[in-house]
Formats: sequence, structure tokens, C-alpha cells
Amino acid sequence: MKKKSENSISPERFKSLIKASLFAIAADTLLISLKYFLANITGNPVLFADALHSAGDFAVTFSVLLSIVVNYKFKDSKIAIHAEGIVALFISFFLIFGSIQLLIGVVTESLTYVLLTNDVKLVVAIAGIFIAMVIALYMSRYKRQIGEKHDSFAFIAEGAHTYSDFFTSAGVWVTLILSFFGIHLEKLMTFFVGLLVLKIGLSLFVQSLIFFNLNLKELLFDKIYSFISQRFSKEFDFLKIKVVARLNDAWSFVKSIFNEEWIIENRWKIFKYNIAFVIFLYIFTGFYMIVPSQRGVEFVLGSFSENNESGLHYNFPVPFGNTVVVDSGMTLRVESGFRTNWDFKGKEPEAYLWEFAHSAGRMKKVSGESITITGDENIVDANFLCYYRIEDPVLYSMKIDNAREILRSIFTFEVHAAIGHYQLEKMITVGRSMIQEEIKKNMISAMVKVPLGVEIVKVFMLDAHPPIEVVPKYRAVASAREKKDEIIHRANAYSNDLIPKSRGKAVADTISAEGYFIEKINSAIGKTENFKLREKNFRAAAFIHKNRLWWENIEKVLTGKRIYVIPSKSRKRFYLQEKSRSTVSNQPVKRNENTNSNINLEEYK
Amino acid sequence: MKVKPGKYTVAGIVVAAVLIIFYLSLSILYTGQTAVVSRFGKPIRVVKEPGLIIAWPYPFNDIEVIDSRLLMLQPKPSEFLTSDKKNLILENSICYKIVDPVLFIKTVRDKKGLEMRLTDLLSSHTGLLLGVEDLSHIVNIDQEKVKFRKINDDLTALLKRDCETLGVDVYQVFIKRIMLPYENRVAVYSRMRAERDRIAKKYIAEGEEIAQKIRSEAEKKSRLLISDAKKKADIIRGEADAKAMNIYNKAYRRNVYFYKFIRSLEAYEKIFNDKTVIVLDEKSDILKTLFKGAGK
Repeated sequence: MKKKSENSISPERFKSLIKASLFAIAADTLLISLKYFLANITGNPVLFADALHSAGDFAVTFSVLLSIVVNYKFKDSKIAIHAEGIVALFISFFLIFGSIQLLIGVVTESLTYVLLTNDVKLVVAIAGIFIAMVIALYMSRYKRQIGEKHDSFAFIAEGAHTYSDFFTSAGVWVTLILSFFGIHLEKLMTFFVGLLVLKIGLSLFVQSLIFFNLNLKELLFDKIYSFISQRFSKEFDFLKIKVVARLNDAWSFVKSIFNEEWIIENRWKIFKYNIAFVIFLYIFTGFYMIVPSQRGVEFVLGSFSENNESGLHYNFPVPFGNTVVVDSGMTLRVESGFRTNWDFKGKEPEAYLWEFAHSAGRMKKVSGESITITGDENIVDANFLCYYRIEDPVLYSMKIDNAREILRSIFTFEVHAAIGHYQLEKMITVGRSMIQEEIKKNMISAMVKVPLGVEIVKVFMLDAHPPIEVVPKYRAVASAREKKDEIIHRANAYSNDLIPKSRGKAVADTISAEGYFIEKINSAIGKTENFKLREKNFRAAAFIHKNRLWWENIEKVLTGKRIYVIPSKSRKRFYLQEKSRSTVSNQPVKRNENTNSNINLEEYK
Repeated sequence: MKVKPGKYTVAGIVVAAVLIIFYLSLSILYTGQTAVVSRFGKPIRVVKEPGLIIAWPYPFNDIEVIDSRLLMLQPKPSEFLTSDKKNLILENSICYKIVDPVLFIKTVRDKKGLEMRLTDLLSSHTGLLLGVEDLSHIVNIDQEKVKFRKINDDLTALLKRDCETLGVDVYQVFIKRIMLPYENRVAVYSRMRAERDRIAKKYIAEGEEIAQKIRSEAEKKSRLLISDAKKKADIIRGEADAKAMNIYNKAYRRNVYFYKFIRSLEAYEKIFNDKTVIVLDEKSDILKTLFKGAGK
């Protein structure tokens, strides 16, 4: 579309158009660098987005310049047209890439930025953006005037585009002012500006393809548009009439408020008010708030003036006055042997065993500090913590370079000095509180030698353990101790088993002997009584009883026995022979005749 | 378009120039800084109090701002040898303050130069002091023998003396780290492990000792109990026998003949049981009596 309007070019027209576009490019470069500078000093994402938007403006102006040059000088050169297209394509890619990165950054919150509130840098940015707004406004007017004068449609469009840059900057300006008072809409605004830049990039991309005879607009967009408008004609009409019309109304309303003519008419007034506003903001930066745990140390022209407790305070703004906020009420801590990572979000170990103690999770080991030699020339891994309070904020914050690190150095020295005369065993067991007290005492006296403006509150030995290389053996000792107990318990168990049993046996023995005693006596008494009675009886008729008893006895003895009667005159000799020699002699000999184990009387001649 | 520059323009330019010069000749000295104001390179004034400094802009006057805060330098750790030939890694830090900025500029020019000088001095002095001490003077269980703090103080004194000529006041040197080199450390670890083994073995042996004692005690007690009981039982049995015998004595003494007689009968009864085979002679008394009758 630009090409058509630049068809008839006279040398004068060409000259003035070239001049105007070079001027516009210079102004855009100024805007980009101004915004980029402000973005850098404040670290505000919305300013980066605005700088990118100005870069889009720059790109469009640059492509207009190129098209003018190509149309006038190299009208018939295809290469030149292609070169123009390539440049436009390149710029469009840059814009698309930049804006998409910005949008992704906003959506995924991966953007690193600083949101300042009530800061002099922000005042500078507000003033700077105001200047950028003025430049954009004048440039848009200038471009439009040039366009009208030379009847160049491209320049009129350019003017409109720069006018939108003015509006973007105005939005950014408002955002910054809100940010100054603590209302942070930066992300929303960044997203919005990012979308605008993306739109510029995409339209530039579509236009640049025309140079390669590839009208994406006709090929794709128009077709899609007609397809959609046919298919969804009802909905489309609704959208057109209701939504688009409303948006246009709103836009023209905004335009009527920021009426260009009105702005131009009242420019001095606006300028004056704005200067006053910026000065007000600048003076306002002197206010600061102090919470109870802090102390605000005020310096005016470099020298100490006031030391403020909590509340709202005022000091001259930078660079006339500067305020240092010191955490003086709070008890601070300094570590030796490890560092604390407060922002740690990863997985902490299941348990802080010696292997992980103060070296995993949110603790980071500094082995150079923690591993040291003990008095008995062993090696120990010791982690200490010192709590302190800032007593003299001015001395602590201004007259010492990194007082905390110096305190850490002194602390580490004292820790090592104390460990140097302790036994490893003692310091990790019973000597804990002793070593803590000793270090604290020495720290307090060291604070006299090297005054840091702090008060030592407490010293802790967090954990002191043998180095990791030796830890398994230490655990083995603990196991051995258990083993010892186990062995003793087993022996006790044996003893506990044996002694009661023996005691029982002893008792049983005694009791059985007592039983024997009773039995024996009873039997003796019984037998003797029996004897006495029988004797008494016997004495009465001795002969008869003797015979009776004798015969009774014979009867009893001989009844059922095998009796062999041998003739006394026989010459034969009889032998008693036991037939079976296999039977064990102790075994009773069975009388049964079937068995061959009976005793036979055999005759021998 | 061309017009002569008017009165106001000239006045404006002059005023602007004066303002710019005035602005350039003002600078703020913050707390914790000192400034050396020099003219064409020659120091003419030292400003120690914070506040506004008024001096001509650059080519005429030059303001060099020097840190007057308490500073700390931490050189890299380095290895030293003690007099008993033990290697040690030491890390120091030095707290110092630049007290005489002019002397400081003259001798070491800037902070970097000073840090270089301090590092060299520290390394040399540490080597010197450590070279005459045994390791047992640096770490020892006996607090009286430890000279660690004294070495530290000597080091501070030496550095303080040397740095006086640099316009620097050394507050204190801190030996932050005492460590053995890696190889020696490994040796110490292995010694510590051996020691642990020794302790572990000792525990187990002690356990065995106690256990054995407990076991033998138990056995002893058991034997004592049982033998004592046996002794008592035997006595009781003996008493029982004696008493029984006494009873038998008293009773049987009344008729010894009868006792013999019935005792022999009892004995027959017991001796001839049902397994006995009896062989009798034809002429034996039993048979005679049996066949002829007891009349005889």
C-alpha cells in the first residue's frame, strides 16, 4: 500500500521525505535508548516493553525509508526490492521474537525484575517517560504534517502509529506513577504492550512477504475472514456491531480526552504541572518507614544526622541525604562451618544424619571452615552459630566494610582456637556447653579489640562430629557397645537359668533325704514292732513255732520250683549246664521249655 | 533569521557556565570515607569528616576518595611447615583500616596494591612464626601449652609494625583455618579408624570378660547349692540309718536266736524266687523230713 502512494516522486519530494524519515529514525533511536536506559536503571519490565514498542516504531519508519529509496533510486532493480523485503522480514522477526519472549516471561513469571516503590530512580523514569511522550507526540504531528504536505499516505499512517506509541508511553507513565505509590500493575501493562508489539511485528511480517510476491493477506487472512464471515455471519455481525463499534466508541472517547489539539494548546500548563509533579515526587521519596525490628540511620550530605526508631520518617532525598535501614532490634546470626540458604525450596534429607548435617537441604557446608584439628590431633567437623545484635548501627553499617563477614572471621578464629585445646571425644560429648561458653567469652573480648558495634548474644555448637570418612567406624563402636551389653545379657540369662534350677535341685535333694529319713525310721519301727510281737508269741511255744515257721517257709520256697532229686549212691555225675550261652548273664533265665534258654540237667557217663 | 546574541543570551550562558562549574566543584564525602584533595597531583588537603567538599573541578584540583572503613582481607589459604616438619594449611584474614591516606597513596597507590603487600607480608610472617613452633604448640589438650593465640597476636604485632609505614593500621589478624593437607588428613583418618576399632574390640572383650565372670559365678553358686544340699541330704540319710539301726538293735537284742531264725527264713524267701531250680540230694534233711514226717 505504501508503494502505490509513492508512485510519482519528484527530486524535491524525495529529498524532503528522506529528510523527514531520517529525522523520525533519529527521534525513534533517541526514544529507544532513553527507554532502554530507564529500564536498566529501574529494572522495570514495563519499560523494556515500551522500549520494544519504540523499536517497532523505528522498524516501521525504517521500512518506509527503505521503500522510498527503493522506489526512487532502484525502481527497476528486483534485488533492491528483495533486499527491502529481507530487511523488513528481519525486523519483523526481531519484534515477534522479542514480544513473544516478553509475553512468555510475564505468563510463566520467569521474568526477573525489580519493582521499586518510592525511589528516586522511579522519579527519573517518570520524568524520562514524560519526555518520551512529548517527543512521540511531536513526532506524530510532524509525520502527519509531512504526509499531508507531500500527500504521502505512508507518512500519515506513520504519524498514526507514532501517536499510538505516545499512548503506550502514557500508559507506562501512569503505571510508573502507580508503582511509585505502591500499586504494581507492571505485569498487566507489560503483557498489554507485549501484545501491541506482537501485532506490529506480525503486520510487518505480512507486509514484508508482499515484496516476495506472496500476499499472505490476500492468500490467507482474507480467505479466512470471508470464510468466517460467511459461516458465522450472524455472530460476526453481532461482533461487528456490538463489540467493535463499542470499542471504537471507547477509543474515540479516550482520544477526545487526550485531544491532541487540547494537549498542544495547554502544553505549557501541562509542562509546568508535570515539573511540579515530578518535584513533588522527588521530595516525596524522602519519606521512609521503619518497622520495630529496624533502625533508620539518616545521613545528610554524608554525615550522620539522626538515628530513628520505628514509624514514618523523613530525610532529604538522594543525593542530599541517604538513609540506611539496619536490623538492629533483631537478633541476627552468623554461621561458621556452613551457610544458610533461606530461599531453598528443594527436598530436604529424611534426617539430618552426620553425613548431611549442615551440608544438605538448606545448609551449605563450607568444609574449609568446619573441618579442623582438635587438641588431640584428631580431625573434627564442627558447625557453630553465633547470635548477635547490632548495638551501634552507624559503626556497623557505615564505618565497617561488611561487618558481618569480619564477625564471621573472628568467630571462626575463636571456634578454631577453642577446638585446638579440646579432645575430640570431650568436645562432642560432655564438653559442649563448656566450649560454647568459652567461645562466647572470647568473642566478647574480641569485640573490644576489634569494635564492630555488635553485642554477642549467644554462641551455639550446632553439631560437631568426626569427619564423614571416620563416621562408619564411630557407629561400629556404638554397635560394639551394644554387642558388649548383649554378651553380658546372655551370660546373665545363663546365670538366671542355672541358679534357680540348682536351687530347686538342692531343695529336692534335701526333701528327698528327709523323706528317706522318715521312711527308714518308720520301716525300722514297723519291723521291730512286728519282730517284738512275733518273738513274744514265739517264746510261748518255741519248738512248735519253729517247726511251723520252718515248714511254712519250706512250703513257700519250694512251691512251684523245679526240683531235681539226685540219688545219693549214684556214680554218675550231674552237671548243671546252661544251654544258651548267648543270653546275657544278668537276664533272668526263662523257665519256658520251648525256649532253648532253659537249664537242662544232662547226664554224662 | 540571523540575530545578534542579545544581552540575555550572554548572561544566560555565563550563569549556566558558573552553575556548571559550581556543580562540578561540589562533591559529597560520605561517612566511612576520607578524601585527599590534590592540586596537579600534589596532595594539599586531607578531608576526614564527612560532608560537602568544595574544590576546583578536575584539572585544577583532584579529589581522591579513600575507604576509611574497617576493611578485611582474606588471602587464599597457604601451606606452611612447623618445626617438627608437619605441613599445615592456614587461612588468615586481616582487619585493617587506612588511617593515613596520603602515606597510603604514596606507598601502595591503591587498595589493590595494599592487598598485594599485605598478602606477601602475611605469608612471610606466618611462615616465620610457624617455622619455630611444633604442631603440639598449636593444638594440644593441655591449654597451657597451646600457643595458638600467642602466634596470632605475634603475627598481628609484626604486621602492625610493617604496615605503619603504609599508613595502614592493622587491627587484628585472624587465623581462620588450621588444616592438614589432604594426604596427611587421610593418614589421620586411618589412625582415627584404627583407634575406633581398638575401642570397639575393647568393648566386646570387656563384654566377654564380664560374661565369663557371670557364667562362672553362676556355676559356682549352682555347685555350691547342689553340693550343700547333697551334704545335708547325706547327713540326713546317715542319721536316718543310724537311728533305724538303733531301733533295730534295741528290738533284736531281746532275742537274737529268733532274729537269726526268722531272718534266715526271710532270706530263703528272697533268695529262692520263681526262677530258682532246686537240686536236692536224696538224703538231704528236707527230703528226709518230708518223706519220714517231722516226727524225728
